[in-house]
Amino acid sequence: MADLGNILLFFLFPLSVFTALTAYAAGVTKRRGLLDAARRGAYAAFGVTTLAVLCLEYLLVTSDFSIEYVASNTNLGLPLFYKIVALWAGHNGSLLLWTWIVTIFSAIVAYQHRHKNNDLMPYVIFVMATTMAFFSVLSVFIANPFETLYQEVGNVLQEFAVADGRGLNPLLQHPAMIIHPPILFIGYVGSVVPFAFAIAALISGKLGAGWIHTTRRWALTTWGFLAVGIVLGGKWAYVELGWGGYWAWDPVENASLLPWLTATAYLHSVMIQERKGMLKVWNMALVISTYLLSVFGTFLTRSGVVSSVHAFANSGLGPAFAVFISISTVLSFGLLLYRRKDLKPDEEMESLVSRESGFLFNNLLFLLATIAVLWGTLFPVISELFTGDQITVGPPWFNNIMIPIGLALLLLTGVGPLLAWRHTSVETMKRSFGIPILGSLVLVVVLLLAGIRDGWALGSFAISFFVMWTIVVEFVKGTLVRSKNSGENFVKALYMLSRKNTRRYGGYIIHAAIVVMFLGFTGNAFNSETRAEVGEGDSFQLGPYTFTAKSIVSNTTENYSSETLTMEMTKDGRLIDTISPEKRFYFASEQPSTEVDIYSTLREDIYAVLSGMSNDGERVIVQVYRNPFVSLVWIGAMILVFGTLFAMLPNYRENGGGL
Amino acid sequence: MSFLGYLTGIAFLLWAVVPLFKKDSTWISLFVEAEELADRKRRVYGNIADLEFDFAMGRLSEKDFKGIRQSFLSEAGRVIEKIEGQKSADIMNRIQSDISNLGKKTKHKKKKSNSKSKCSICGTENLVEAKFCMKCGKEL
Repeated sequence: MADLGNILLFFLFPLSVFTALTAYAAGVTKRRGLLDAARRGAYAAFGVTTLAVLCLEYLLVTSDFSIEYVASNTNLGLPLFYKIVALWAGHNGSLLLWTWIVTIFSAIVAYQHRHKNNDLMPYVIFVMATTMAFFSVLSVFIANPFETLYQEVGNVLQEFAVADGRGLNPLLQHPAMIIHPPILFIGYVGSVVPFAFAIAALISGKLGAGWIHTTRRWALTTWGFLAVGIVLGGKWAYVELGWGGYWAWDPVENASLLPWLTATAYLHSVMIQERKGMLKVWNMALVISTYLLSVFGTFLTRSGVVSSVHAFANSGLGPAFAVFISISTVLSFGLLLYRRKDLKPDEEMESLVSRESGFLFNNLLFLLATIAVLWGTLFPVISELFTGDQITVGPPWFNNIMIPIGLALLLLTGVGPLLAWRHTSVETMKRSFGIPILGSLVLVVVLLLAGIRDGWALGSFAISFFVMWTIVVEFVKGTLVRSKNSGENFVKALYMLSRKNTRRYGGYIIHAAIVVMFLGFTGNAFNSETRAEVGEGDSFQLGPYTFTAKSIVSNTTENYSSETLTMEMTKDGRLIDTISPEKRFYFASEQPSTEVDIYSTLREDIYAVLSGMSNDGERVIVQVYRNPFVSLVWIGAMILVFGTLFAMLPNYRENGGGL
Repeated sequence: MSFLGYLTGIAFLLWAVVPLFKKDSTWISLFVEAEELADRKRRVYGNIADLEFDFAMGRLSEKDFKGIRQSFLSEAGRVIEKIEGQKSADIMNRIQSDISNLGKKTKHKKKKSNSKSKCSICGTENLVEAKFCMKCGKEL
C-alpha cells in the first residue's frame, strides 16, 4: 500500500507541471483544447492526491509500523479516531494535507468556472497548478509520508518494522486539535484562490473589479476559516498547554494571525474599489501579501526557523520554502509594478472625513499591525543575523504595540460605517456620534468609581460600548425606516432589512462579534492566580473562593498513568463546584501532559492545573488562575462564524426596492 | 501494488491529455473597454443604492443627497450611452426604472412601463415606479 501511495503521489508532480504549462499556453493562444486539458489536469491532480491520502489513511488505521510516519505518530493502543486524524499530527502528513487541499480547491475552481471567465481561467489554473507543483515536490522528495524504516544489516540497508509506534503527541489528543489544523489549513490554502485570480487579472490585463466579484465568497470563506482556526488554536492552547492563557504571541500563532490581518484589510478595502474604483494597488498588494504570508506561515511551522510550541524539527524544507516565497514575492510584486499604470484610481479622495478615508485608515492600521507582528516574530532571526544571539521579544512587547493598534481598529469599526461616501458634514457627525460618545464617557466615570484604574481596560470598555451602540442603532434605525415604509412589524422588518443586504448586515454582526471578543481580551487586565502545595484536607484561597483538597488519586491505563487532585471550590461557605485537575504521563511517547479543569461562567473562568508532586512526594502542587471574561472570546468567535455565514447568503430580492 | 499505481497515474495523465487531440477552436475575449463599462455601470448603480440608504439613515443632508444623486445619474447616463453607442432620450427614464427596481425579484429589463407620474415640484414626468424625481431629486 505504501508503494501504491508513493507512486500516486509521485504522479502529482508531472500532472501539476502539465496543468500549469497547458493552462498558460491556453491563456496565450486562447485555444479551448488547451484549457480543457488544463482543467482535466486539475481534476486528475485532485484524483491522484486523494487516492494517495486514502493509502496513507489505510496505513495509519492498520498500524503498518514499517512506515516511518505511522511509527512516529501512532501506536497500537491509540483509539481508532486518533489514528485517522494522525494524518495531520506529524510533519510530512500535514504537508500532504496542505497539498491535498490545494488540489481540492483547484479542482473546485476549475469546475465552477468551466463555462465562464475564459480570459482569466487559464492563468488562474496556471497559478494554482504552480503552487501544486511546489508542494508536490516537497511531499514527494523532501517530506514523503510513505517513507519506510531502514536499518543497516551488515553493509546492506534493509526495511524493517517496529513492534509498536511512538504514539500520538499527547498534546494533540484533544478534540479542538483534531479540527484546528485542517480548518487553519483551509484558511491558509484558500488564500491561493483570490491570489490566483488577482495574478490572472494582472497577467491578462483584465484589471476591472471582475476578479474581486468572482472571488468574494472565496475570500470571505477562507477568512472565516482562518479566524476559526486561530481561535481554535487559542482554545487548544488554553485547555491543553496549562499555562492559564490562550494567546502568547508564539511565532506559529503569529504566523496564522499575519495572513488574517491582511485578509481582513482586503475584505474591507475591496468595497472601495467596487464603489469608487480606488485603492486598486492596495487590493492587489493585500491579496498577494495574504497568500505569501499563508505560505510563510506554513514555512514557519515546518522549518523550525524560530522555536515555538509547534516543535517541528528542522527538516530541509526551509531552503525550499525560502526559494519559493522569494520567487513568488518578486514575480507577484514585479507584475504589480509592471501594471501599476493601469491601476490608477478612477476618483480622488475628496475629504478626510469620509468613508473612503475611513477605509484607507483601516488599511494603514492593518498594515501597521502586520508589520509589527512580522517584525516581532522574525526578531530572533534578525538579531541572530546581526549579533549572533537569538533575542526573543516577549508578549509585553507585542501587547504594548498591538493593544493600541487593536483599539484604534475597534474604534474604526464603530466610526467607519457611519461615515458617508465623499464627505460627512459636522452636523451629521454630531447626530451620529454625540450620544454614543457621551454614553462611553459616562461608562468610564462609572468604571473609575467602581475602582478600575487600568487605562487600556477603561479605553477598551469605552470603545466597545461606543461600537456596540452604533451597531445596534444601525439595526434599529434601518428596521424602523423599513417598518414605516413597508408596514411590516419590527421582527419581520429586521429580518427583511438584513436579508436584503447580507453583506452589510453580516459585516455588522461580525463587528459585534469582534467587540465581544475584545471584551474577552480585556479580561486579561484583571487576571489573578495563586500556587499552593496541598495534601488531602488542606485549603487555600483565591479571591472570594476557597479550595479544599478532598482526594489525590493515582491511576494507570493502557495509554498513560495519572494523578488526579479533586478539590471543592466554595464561596462564602457555599459549594460552587468540584474541580479535578490531572497530570498524565504517556508511556509510548514518554511525555507528561497536564489535563486542566476549568469552571467556566460568563463572568470568569476558574482554571486549575496540577503542576506536579511536592519534593516529599506526599502532596501535590496546584496552580489556580482566575480569568475574567474568557468565555466572551469563544462566544464572540461563534457570533463571528454566524456573521460570516450570514454575509455569504445571497441578497433577498423582493417586489419593491429601497430599504 | 506498484503496477496498479503506475496504471492509475498514467490513466489520469492520458485522460488529461485527450482534449489536446480533439478538434479545436478558440474563444473570443471581451473587449477590455466593454468590461470597464460594465464595471462602471455596476458601480454607479451600487453607489445610488448606497446613497439612498445613507440618506434614509440620516447620514447626509438633503442638499448633499440631491447634489450627489444628480451627479450619479449623469454618470449613469454617460455609461449607458457608451454601452449602447447612441444617445437616447429615454435613457434617463430607463436608469430611473433600473434604480427603483434594484433588489426586486422581477427582471427589470423586460419590464417596460409607459405610465408616468408628475413631480409636484418641477412637473417632470417620471416613471410611476420611480422613488425620486429624475430632474430635481424630490421624493415622489
